[in-house]
Amino acid sequence: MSARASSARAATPHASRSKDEAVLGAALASPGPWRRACEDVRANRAAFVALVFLAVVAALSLLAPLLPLPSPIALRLADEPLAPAAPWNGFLVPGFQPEYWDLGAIDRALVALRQWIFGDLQTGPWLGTDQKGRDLLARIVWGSRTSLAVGLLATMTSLVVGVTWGAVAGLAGGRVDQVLMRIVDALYSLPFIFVVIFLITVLDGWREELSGVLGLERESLFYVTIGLFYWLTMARVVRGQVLQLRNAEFLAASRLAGARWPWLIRMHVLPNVLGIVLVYLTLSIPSILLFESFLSFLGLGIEAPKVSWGLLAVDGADAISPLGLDWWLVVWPSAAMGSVLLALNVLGDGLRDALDPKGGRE
Amino acid sequence: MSALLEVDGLTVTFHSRRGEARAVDGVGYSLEAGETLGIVGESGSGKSVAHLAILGLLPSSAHVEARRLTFGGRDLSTLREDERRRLRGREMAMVFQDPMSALNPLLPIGLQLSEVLEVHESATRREARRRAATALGEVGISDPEARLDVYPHEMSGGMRQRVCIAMALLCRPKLLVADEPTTALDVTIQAQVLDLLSDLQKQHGTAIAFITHSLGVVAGICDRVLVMYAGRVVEEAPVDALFASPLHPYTRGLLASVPRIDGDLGRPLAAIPGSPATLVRSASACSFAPRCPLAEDRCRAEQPELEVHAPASRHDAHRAACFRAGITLPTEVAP
Repeated sequence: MSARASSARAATPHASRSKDEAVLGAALASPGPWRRACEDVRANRAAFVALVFLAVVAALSLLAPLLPLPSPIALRLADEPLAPAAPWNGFLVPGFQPEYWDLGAIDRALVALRQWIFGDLQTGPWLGTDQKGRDLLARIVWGSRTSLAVGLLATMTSLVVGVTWGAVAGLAGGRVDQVLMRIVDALYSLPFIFVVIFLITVLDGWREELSGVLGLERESLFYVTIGLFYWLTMARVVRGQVLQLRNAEFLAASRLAGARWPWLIRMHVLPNVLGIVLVYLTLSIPSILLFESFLSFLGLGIEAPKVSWGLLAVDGADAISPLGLDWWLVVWPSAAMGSVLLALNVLGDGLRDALDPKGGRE
Repeated sequence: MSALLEVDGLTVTFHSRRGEARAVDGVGYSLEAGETLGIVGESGSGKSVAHLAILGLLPSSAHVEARRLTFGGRDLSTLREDERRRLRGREMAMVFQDPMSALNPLLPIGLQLSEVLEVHESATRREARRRAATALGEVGISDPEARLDVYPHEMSGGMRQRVCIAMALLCRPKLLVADEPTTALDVTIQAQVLDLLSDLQKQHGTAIAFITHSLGVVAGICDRVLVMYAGRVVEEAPVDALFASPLHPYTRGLLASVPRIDGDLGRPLAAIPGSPATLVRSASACSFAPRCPLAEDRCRAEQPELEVHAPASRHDAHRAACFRAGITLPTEVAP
């Protein structure tokens, strides 16, 4: 009995020491916050699926000219709208007509390459065709390019203008901060949608002159107005974060070490702001996509023959008539838009959890 | 021998909507190499602001004035910003109250430690890393090489504070401002950190300005004590003299409010009545007068100057800014 007790006592320190070493080893081997965030996103299955899905959508929309899709605008007015046909009933069928609006040089080259690879083969009406005989899948994929462009534009203005504006306001403080943020407040107080509608309508009257002098089309106007307003919230978010950081003791510690401002910004401010910027971006892109669709739906955004998801919604609305319901014209565009919005939200949520420094880990 | 740091008539004013707030009002002291000066006072008494002003870290909204502000014989107020920047980190450093917020959560501590070296001495990465590891070893962190790659959240509070101390002492500064470095730590770790600071001070001859609430810490580590109230120095004394015969009623009140383990446990703790003075006020009265049990008409009409009250015990005089210095408080009288 006593022998066992003493042996247990003898064993205990050793056991606890090896446990300590294990804990220490785990701590020393543990990865940095960024790597950890990446791992968190990968471990969060929903967020990871959303990320992959968005990557696939982005790749498809970038490579749209190269895919063996039918032309998104070639009309076949003689035929009734075709219901969706399963891919195995005619995976690729002949009949491609290379009709597009004015494409850029790269897109033209891609279309040429596509014709060289696939000849006049094109996908069958997998998702059906619309009332004018245009292929719906092709229109959804080509339409996603507008959404991508709008999303990218909003991201870039948010990142470049919004982050700079907010960071300068937060770091400079005092009068500079007051002036910069009052400008943001003033722009914020404008009813955004009405101003955009107003601007576009008014400038529409001048479009001849505008396109003559500045080479501006309505589409670029549309992008400019979105860019003009879209950095406001980001500026506020970043300023708030920077204000909090400016009083952080590690910044004071770094200044005490004699660091200059550029160093402080690069080493301490930007990395600490980046997380919230990223999360905010993924959560705010859905609203800009919806906004584009809304304007196009009202006839103020993208114009035919170009395609955007908003215009597809118009077509879908037209399809709902007493004569019969071409359901695919409503369901597929909505599904495309809905799934992208959902994926962005899920990803944003996952990023927020992953980048939250207080987030618990099991 | 001239002192390392000489401050005289240091005044810091913040302009607020409700008028000028004098956070620091005519503070003066001198600090010699290897000496530890305790600065005691309640929150808002200006002890931190005064030292941030000395280090040149206050925001531009603060207005700093001083009759004399010299460090190592150089007049700080005439230095350009980049010259002051070069002084910071190399010759003066600071340890903060909360070791969690004093470290950037996104960087491994090795990078943060070597920051100072890269900024000042343009040391190579490898050299900086080696010295950072040595510094970590010096503050008693085991296996320093491996710890360089650890992130702040993976360390305990005591370890983080050691890292901060290592960071502050990396360039062997002549002056270390320690702003309540033990407040966020538990008592056993406090003792370790204090021991560490005094050991390092003995090795390197650093002068320490130790800002604290805790009279116990002052008694343990300091040579001399400055008591501040509402932005002014109200008493300055060698540590033994201060505890043996406090002169200012505020100091007496502070000492009387320290709970004693050998005292009457049934008696409620003595407290100083009232709340801390606002900083927007007239300059023609003793700012402690509204709370002072000994205040008389003169205290409300005239501001007392800091004067020598007791002869120097060694090289330092015992000074207090009070017309009623040395009179026993009613609360001190044992029942």
